[in-house]
Formats: sequence, C-alpha cells, structure tokens
Amino acid sequence: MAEYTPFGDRAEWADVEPVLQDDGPNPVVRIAYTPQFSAHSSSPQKSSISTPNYTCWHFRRACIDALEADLQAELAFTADVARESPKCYQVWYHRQAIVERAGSADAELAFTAEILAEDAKNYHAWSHRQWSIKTFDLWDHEDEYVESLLDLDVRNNSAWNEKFFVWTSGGTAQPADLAASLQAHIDATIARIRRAPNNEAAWNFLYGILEHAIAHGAEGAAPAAATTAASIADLADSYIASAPLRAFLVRAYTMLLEPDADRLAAASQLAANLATSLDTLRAKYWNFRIAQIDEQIAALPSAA
Amino acid sequence: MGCYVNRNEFEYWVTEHLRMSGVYWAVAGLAGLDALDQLPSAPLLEFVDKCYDAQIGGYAGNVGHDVHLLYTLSAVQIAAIYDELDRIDADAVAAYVASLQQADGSFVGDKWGEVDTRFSYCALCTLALLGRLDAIDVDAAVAFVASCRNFDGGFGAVPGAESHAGQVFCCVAALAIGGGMAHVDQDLLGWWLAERQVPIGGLNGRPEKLPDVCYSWWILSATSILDRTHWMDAGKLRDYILSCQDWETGGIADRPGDWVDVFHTFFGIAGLALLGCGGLTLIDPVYALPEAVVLRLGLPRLFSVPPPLAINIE
Repeated sequence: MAEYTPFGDRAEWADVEPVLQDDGPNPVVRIAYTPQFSAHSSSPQKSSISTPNYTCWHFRRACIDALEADLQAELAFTADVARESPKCYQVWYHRQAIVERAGSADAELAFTAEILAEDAKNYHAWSHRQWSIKTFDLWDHEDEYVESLLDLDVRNNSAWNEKFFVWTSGGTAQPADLAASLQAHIDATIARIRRAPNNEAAWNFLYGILEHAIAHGAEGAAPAAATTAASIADLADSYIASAPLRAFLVRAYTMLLEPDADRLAAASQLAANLATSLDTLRAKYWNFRIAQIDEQIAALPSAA
Repeated sequence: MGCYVNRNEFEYWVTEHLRMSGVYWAVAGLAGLDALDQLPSAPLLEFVDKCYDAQIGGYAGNVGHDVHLLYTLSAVQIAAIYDELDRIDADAVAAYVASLQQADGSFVGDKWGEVDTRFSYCALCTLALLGRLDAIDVDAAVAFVASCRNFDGGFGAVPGAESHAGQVFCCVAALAIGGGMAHVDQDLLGWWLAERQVPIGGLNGRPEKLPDVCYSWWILSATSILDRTHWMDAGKLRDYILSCQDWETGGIADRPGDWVDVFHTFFGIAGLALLGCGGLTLIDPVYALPEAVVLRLGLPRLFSVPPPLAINIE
C-alpha cells in the first residue's frame, strides 16, 4: 500500500469526472471513507487485501446498482476473485446477487465446476451451484456431473450429497419417479461400494435413498430395501474389515426393515463385532446399540 | 492477543474485518483458562463500544466497518463475559436482530447478506443472552433450521446443503435455545458426529476430510448438547488436541506442526474442557460462554459433559 496512487491522480483515470459521495442525511450504510476507498473501481483493490470484508462488497453492489454496471464484466471479476479466494463467503454471496440481477445462471454450472475441479469439496461452490440449479431449474444434467466427480473420487461426500439433492429435490422427485429409478441407484451405489467398501459417504447415501423412498411411499421401496440388505449381507464375508458395511446392516435390521428375531440377533452380533474389533474408537456407541437391540428383542411379540 | 496489538504483522490486516471475533476468541479462551486478568478489560470494552452503530443497533467487526450479526453476537458475548451487558442497548439490538429474520424463519447476516444457519444461531444466541427472544418468531426460526436437516442426520447451511460439523453446532445450539430439540434425531446425529473421529484421534468436519482442532469445539459442543460425547474416544481426542499445541508460544494449531492462532487456541481449550479435562473452566457449548457467565445470566443449562478424564491438564 506504500506506493498507492489515488485514482484521481492516475493517467488512465484522467478523463473520468469524479462524482462526490452523497449518502444523504440518513445513510442506510454509513461508510468511513478513506481517501483510497472512494470509488467503485477502488473496491477490488481493497478486496485484494481483504476479500472477506462485508463492507466493501456492499459498497461494490451499491455502486453497480447506481451505475448500472455491466453485469457480465462483474461476473468475470467475481470469478477471478473466487478463483483466488475460493473459501471466502462474501465473494460467493456477491456472485449470487449479481446472477440474480442478470436473471440468468447460464455460466454458473461451468464456473462452479471449474472451482470444484480445484477443490471438489468447496462448500461455497456447492451451495452456489445448488442455489443456481434450484432457482433456474437446471437439474437436467446434474446427475451426470455428479457421476463424473464420483468416477474421480468415490469418497467425495459433497458429490454424494449432491446426488441425494438431485434425486430428492429435482424434477424427478415424485414417488413414481423415485420408484422407477430406485433400483438403478441402488445397483450403481453398490457397484461403487465394492470398489471402496469403507467409504462412509456411499453407505450413508445408500441408506438415505432407501429410507427416503420408503418414507415417501415409493412403490416397491420396502421390498427393495430387504433385497438390498440381503445382498449386502452376502458381501459381508468378502469384506471382512468393512465397519460401515456392518453399521449399515445394523441400521437396516433394526430400523429400516421389519424387525424380526433373526434380523435382531444378526444386528446384535454385528454390533458386537464393531464394538470389540472393527470400530473400537466408537465402542461405547456400539454397546449402546447392543443394549437397544436387546430391548427390541425383548419387545418382540414372540418373546412375551 | 498478538493479532490485536501487533499492527506490523500481515495477520493484523487480513483479520481486520473480524477483529471483534478475534477479541471474543481471546477473551473466551482466557476465561477457559481462568486467566481473564491477563488482559485489561477497559480497552477491549472501549473497542466494543466503538464498533457499535446506534442507528442500526448492531456491532461491526471493527471500528468504521458495517455492522453484522456475527460481530453483534461476539460483542454481546464479550460484554457478558465481563458482566457489562448494561453497555448494550438491548432494545436496539433486539430490533436489529429481528429485522434480519426472513419470512421463512431464516436469518440474513446483515442488511444485504446471505442466508445461513450460522446466522440463525447468532440471532437466537444474541437474543437469549439479552433476554429478548420475544423479539423474533422463534418457532419459524426453529422450523427453518429443522429444514436444513439432511438424510445423514446432520445439518447444512441452507436446505439441501451438505452436512458440516460447524453448521451442526450452529443448528443444534440454535434448536436448543429455541426449544426445538425434537427436530434432532439425537442418536443418528450423535453417531454421525462420533463418526467424525479419525484413527489418530482428531475430528474432521465432513466424511473423508482431514481432522482439525476447530471441530473439537464444534463437535464436542453438539455432542454435549445431545449428551453423546461419551460415544467418542475421549482420551485419543484429548491427546490429539494436545499434540497440536506449540510448546514455544503455548498456542494451539489446527493440526500438529502447523502455525497457531487465537481461533484454534480457544477451540482447543474449550474442547478439552468439554471432554472432561480438569483444570479448565467449562465453556457452555450452547452460548459459547464460561459456565459461570451463563449461570449469572439465569439461562438454563442445556448440555451435559462426561465424567472427568483420569488425566488433568496442568
């Protein structure tokens, strides 16, 4: 900042007539102006030293509105800042505000994909992407995009969350649509699980879609859940070290499927295996579950 | 407090906009060590006063900046710690916070800003500390937070957004303050939070991510409110936090060997206390204030901590 030259003293600004700031008698946003902090084009300069500064982004938007500035140029500027500071909340909100003003999110999927190519779990990029998809009805190719990310990194929890988001909130989220696509989703997820059997994200997704389909009355969802649990149980011997596989079965046997004596007994054994060997870090959780399962067993009609 | 006084350091300027939160982290961290007397309170409270915008009724992150809900909460927390809530114009702040509530019950962070469940927490906590929850539609606030619950039991920043342990803290504490704990599947969320512990003992914020000391606070706060802290391996987590302390400066970093900061130092100290490590003052995980402060304000105790660990922190 030592070599700072005020805009009014710069050759390239010589033909610009300065407009003095007038906030009126009761300004909504009172800004403590410094000599540098005095025009629209100075705000990116300030941004470069302090991108998370809420004040300068407000000021920038106020200028854009007042000047009816070129929104495409602003999107390009915002993209540059986001590339440099992809974890800054304010730049993403600013971009959203500009996209709203522009009335089009045509560039947003490509832009967020570019940021996510650098950091596939960037929370702000994902939020912005979801907002764009929801607001401008851009669901059509999102599942393909998510699949391409999972091909690169099957452990990307953000991508699995997006997959769930598309399936449950998109244009094909009615019970009939859920029923029609459920089995394909189950099969594809199990295929990915076979490649990474300790991947918590995929297991959560698998349980999540079954639970969602059942809860929303998708036809055939309960039998599909039972078949899925049976095929997962068949995999147990092949993946003897997979804690999440066993955790999935415990949940399925005790909460997703109709609990019967066989399922509850199996759940208890699986939980014991987790507590004592596969997941000792959370032994106290599994012991809690074993006690819960015991109560479920005691409450079975046949046990009375 | 190095970042507060050393104006020649780069960090001083890049954290300029959040100085208020920096003061809060430092003061709350000292309170956690029962060492508040290490800093003179007068200049800090003077700084808080200078960040107040009487026209809006909120506090800025620094002198001359715009007010924001994040820093309004920090200001109220700092005043509460020093038993100086009289300095706060509760009516004006309550009206400001209420003005940020949207029709769907959510909150924006400032007059122009984005919606985020972080701001729901800031709003509910600020008003609870001021005894002014009646200023907002609490049921609507609770309903919005509940709408951010995901299939894995966790919570995100907005509906549909990925579960994130930092957001889980905000949402669970907001629901606790708003009387909406019925919206939490305590066992499912408690398990998801316990799953955040990785084999070396630390906690990550999302599946398949690296551990970071800050989650010791976010996650232990949430598990304390859910009464599920005992589902984790407390000894391993304590050892992980201690391995992130720098022996020369005393500060705590995000990971072993990284540079320390006031943010992670506070979260490390507060996390250790929530684990049951002795010799530390408990930070109430709902209001993020020393237990005694919450008691003094007559607010309910909405959490529980596990029995003390065998080894105390000296």
